[in-house]
Amino acid sequence: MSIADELDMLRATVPGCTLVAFGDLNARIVLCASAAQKPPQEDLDALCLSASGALDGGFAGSVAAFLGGSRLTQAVTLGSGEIRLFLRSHLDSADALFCTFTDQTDIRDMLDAGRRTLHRISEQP
Amino acid sequence: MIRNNATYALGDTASICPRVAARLVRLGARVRLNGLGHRRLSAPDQRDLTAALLRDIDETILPRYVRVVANTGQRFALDIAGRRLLRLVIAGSGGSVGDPGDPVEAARGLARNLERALLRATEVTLQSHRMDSSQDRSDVGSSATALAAALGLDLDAPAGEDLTDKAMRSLRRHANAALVLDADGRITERLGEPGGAARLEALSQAHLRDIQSAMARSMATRDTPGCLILGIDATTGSYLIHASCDRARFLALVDAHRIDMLLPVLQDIFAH
Repeated sequence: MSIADELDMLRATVPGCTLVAFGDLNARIVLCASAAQKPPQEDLDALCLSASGALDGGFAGSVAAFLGGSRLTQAVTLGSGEIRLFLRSHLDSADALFCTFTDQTDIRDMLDAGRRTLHRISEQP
Repeated sequence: MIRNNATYALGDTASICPRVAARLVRLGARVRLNGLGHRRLSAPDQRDLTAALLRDIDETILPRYVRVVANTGQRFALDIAGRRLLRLVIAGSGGSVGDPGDPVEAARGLARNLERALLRATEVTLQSHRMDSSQDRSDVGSSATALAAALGLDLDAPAGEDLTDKAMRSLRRHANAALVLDADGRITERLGEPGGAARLEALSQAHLRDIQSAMARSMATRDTPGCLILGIDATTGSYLIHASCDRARFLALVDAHRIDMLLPVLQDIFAH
């Protein structure tokens, strides 16, 4: 299955999921995205920068060590009307999945499904 | 018919345990009946209605079979006993009992079906019948509190709480340790394990501003209440939570095995 298909399937599987994107945290670019209405590239880039700030910001190493690990692999932001999820792959630390969804989505379902999708994508040669 | 007209002076309810006070208020509320003598529950939205129905289940000890009609037209039936929802059957689809071997998954499954049954409803009519059962059903279905946890609802929440109160209560319940901070980042209260709170304090001194700005940059809307949850793995380690409310900020440490209980609560507080 192609990356685009994986992203489409994830978005279709989780009710309330409005956008799924796959990107590179080192290059800070979104490589592929799935959305009902595709947002402008600058919005996708901003999303990637937010993910990079949350997972690799100046505090990230200290917080990861504080939590008992070496890298932050997930960040969730909750705000009025929209939830954002940033996941880093365990297989390739640059691979990341960015999801936005509404309050109708169970975060736990989104986390589980997002992790599985990212794992499959990172496994691909 | 036995009618209890007794009244009890509650005194200063603030001095009573909030959980007991909330229950006394609910018990004192008048039961609403429709023209056929069936009980009615109504609420401003689906979540409040779900909480009201779960409170009803939480107060049902003897086995009951309850037919429910929602104001959306949805019909479903509930088997209730011992403060547990044993079975949920939605008209036109199969029954749902969950897997007794996995209580958390059973609660999530039942909770999802209850959400589906109450979709967009703001009122339900309950037609209740006694159910003959001498079996021990304590391993069937899910308790009302487990269902509430799966849905991120707090059955004991006092009315009129603001965001800060809600966040404080949920972190007291689920976090290993937490700091309550004022707008300038000064610590006003330490919750939970003293060791964890001390570690949070050290982290706060070094990185609070960076964490706050990462949260602000990550949120769709700026300068509004929000929450950032950072983790290293789904099943191991811990989670760091930074929350910004109307009156306070919080920095909390939560074990991975507790996060599943807290996530729907935080979602309810900050994302609705």
